[in-house]
Amino acid sequence: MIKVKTVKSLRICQGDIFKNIDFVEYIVEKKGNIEVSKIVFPYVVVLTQDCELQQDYNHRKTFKRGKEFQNKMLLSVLVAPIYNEEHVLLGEHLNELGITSSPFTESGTAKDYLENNEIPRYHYLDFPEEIPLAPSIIDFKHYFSVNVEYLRKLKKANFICKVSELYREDISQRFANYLSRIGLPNK
Amino acid sequence: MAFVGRWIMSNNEIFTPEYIKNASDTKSVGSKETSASDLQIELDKYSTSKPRRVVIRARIINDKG
Repeated sequence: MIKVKTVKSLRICQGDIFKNIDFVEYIVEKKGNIEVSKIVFPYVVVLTQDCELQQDYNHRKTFKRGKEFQNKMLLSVLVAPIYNEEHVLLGEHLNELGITSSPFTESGTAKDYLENNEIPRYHYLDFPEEIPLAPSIIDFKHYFSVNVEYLRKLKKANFICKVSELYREDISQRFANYLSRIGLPNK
Repeated sequence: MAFVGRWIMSNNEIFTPEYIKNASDTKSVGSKETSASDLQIELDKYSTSKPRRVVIRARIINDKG
């Protein structure tokens, strides 16, 4: 089980978990009609390094005062979706998007691999009782970016909790390892 | 109360939010017994946790004539 903090800070932090975050797929305009397609992710975790988020927060404050350069401000924050473990095991977590995933076997072995974080793509999270989240899986393959200001404005209403430092470093390191993997040819 | 994803009665009937809404205070769920309100919370966790696509269509109106 991971440890979390429920006290929110003013800024976005690495390990923050938010609910109901939009990912815009596309925006098209044709003959005066606008179409926006977005995916609403029930839960995401922030992956951007915490020092970068801290610097961004500090520089945004000075930006408002117009005193300094803002070269350390971020354009977006990296997040990864969190899926319900039960849905992932059944391969049904994306079925409302028309995507069916291969289910994990019922033998229990695959579930054990998943929960022991032995599959590089996934990260298992078991939350304390007071957090209203079922056992969940972060899918590193589905990471996406979110506008900084958009996320900051949602912090008050959509913040769930923050993964404690040790556990968030574990997430961060596993994500970095997953991203930097090298695919070798099969033969 | 541990979350098990789906609550299925011994007769294999799956609880739905509507069922819970109309249920009396306590229901036997398989080998577990829990209050209907707790069960509602668990079901909410289950039912609201999948990504969904939303498509918004709008028409630009030139109100300056």
